[in-house]
Amino acid sequence: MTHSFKITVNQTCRKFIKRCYELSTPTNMLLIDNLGEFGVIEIQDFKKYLPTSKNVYKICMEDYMYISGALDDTLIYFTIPKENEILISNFEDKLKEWLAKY
Amino acid sequence: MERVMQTLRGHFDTKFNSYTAAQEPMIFHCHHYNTVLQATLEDTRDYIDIYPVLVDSAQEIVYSQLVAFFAESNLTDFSERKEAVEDFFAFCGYGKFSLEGLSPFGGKIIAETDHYSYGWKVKFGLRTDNLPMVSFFTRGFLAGATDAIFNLPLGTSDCVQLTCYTKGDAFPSFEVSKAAQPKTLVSSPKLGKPQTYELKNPTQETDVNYLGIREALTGMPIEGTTTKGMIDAFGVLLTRMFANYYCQISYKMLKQLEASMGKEGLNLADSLLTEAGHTCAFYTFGGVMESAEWNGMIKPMCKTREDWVHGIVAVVNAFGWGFWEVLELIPAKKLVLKVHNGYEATSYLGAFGNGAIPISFLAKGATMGIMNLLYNGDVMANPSLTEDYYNSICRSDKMFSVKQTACRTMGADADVFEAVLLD
Repeated sequence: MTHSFKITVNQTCRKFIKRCYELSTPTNMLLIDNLGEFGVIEIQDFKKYLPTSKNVYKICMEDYMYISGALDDTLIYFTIPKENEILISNFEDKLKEWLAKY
Repeated sequence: MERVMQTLRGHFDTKFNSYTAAQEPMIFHCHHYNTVLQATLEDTRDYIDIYPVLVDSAQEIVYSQLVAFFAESNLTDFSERKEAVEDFFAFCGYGKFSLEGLSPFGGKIIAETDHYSYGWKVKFGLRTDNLPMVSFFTRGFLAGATDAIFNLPLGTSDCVQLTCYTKGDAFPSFEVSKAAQPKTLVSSPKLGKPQTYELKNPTQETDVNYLGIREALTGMPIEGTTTKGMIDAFGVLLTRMFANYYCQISYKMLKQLEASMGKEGLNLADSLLTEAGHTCAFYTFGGVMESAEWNGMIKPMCKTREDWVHGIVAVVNAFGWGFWEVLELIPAKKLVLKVHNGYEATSYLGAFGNGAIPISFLAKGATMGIMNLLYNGDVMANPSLTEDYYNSICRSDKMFSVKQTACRTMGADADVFEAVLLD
């Protein structure tokens, strides 16, 4: 089976856009670790308060861009300054590489 | 020193559903509301002298808070006081600066960044030459902090802004000096007239766990970064802002408009401030509902669109805005919200006593905004929260309108808001 993603692009303000990737399979820690090369990984442990919740991750490259989403969820957000094709391409390569394993 | 600074950062109190930092109620709001409210007030500049209101209110509140904090913590060393103020400014997401060169006579302050300056630029862009720089809050903060740090009477210092992102400058900067004439300012209303209440989970209509959401969100480390002093969360730039600052600038504007224009002025203030709350709901609540945190924590509890209404109301219970509960929800038709210890009424009662009209404009606009986001628009489909989308769902002929049917400042036990669909 070939896994893939759909993209919607949201404008968040004059400077940044939020690219929303809907993956065909839910995220896991392997993907988050792979994406760790874009910045520092932070995990919010919501499960300790609410067992029905999913933990949330955020990967920040200083104030320049961040990746965020919920673990075991199909949505992943990539928030970056407008028109940074190289960064987008690097990010999507990581997603494709990971999706190919599932 | 670390423990002392922690005291100034404050804590969340479930008895009041609010944050308190050295006797000042603190609440979360984002750059959309901060800048829109300021722009709203600025729009009245042809009728009233609004700019001193924006600066002096911050000076009064910051001074009152810091004097209380320095006394409570027995902090007398000027360097340690400056360190605590710098830490608090960054922790709250206002930006980052060093006060090293500040003396009782003033000094220049170059900021790493500043929430209002940055937030305004990303939202509205550059300002024209005929308009002033935008960091009125920071100017008041610095003047009030200088008065407090050096044991000067309130109103001794003044602060001007030298550079601003909104003017194309590379960084914001400020200059504190002795005011030409000491300003006549008054102390903050501090805790106002707070009200205790108990948050409960709704019993039948939803599985949304209000208590769990509040516990999780108030336990999150939402604080400014060490490098920039900015809080980038839920897709917006958050601040832990003084509830009394919003209330003082809003109600001083309302009273000045009333004094100059009578009932027409009151109506104008009502519609302007309600619209600011409406905008806040659109961008802040919309941003929250399109965030990773929402997807992780709230969405798994939501089976229906009505659960999304409960979800966002549950989140608000962690903002420090008081106790919010859904009294009635008729899908796509009506929402009635009841608010105990709402920060607007609590502050108003402390500063002015009882009033003749309902004054909880932020909560009123927000009630309408929730319904427009979920039933007039479709925030569940993850739309771009742009001005065009706002105009299409929040300013259309067929949109939700709202009225405040009860207000604590008029003797009621809680604030009540009713949003219904305009036919």
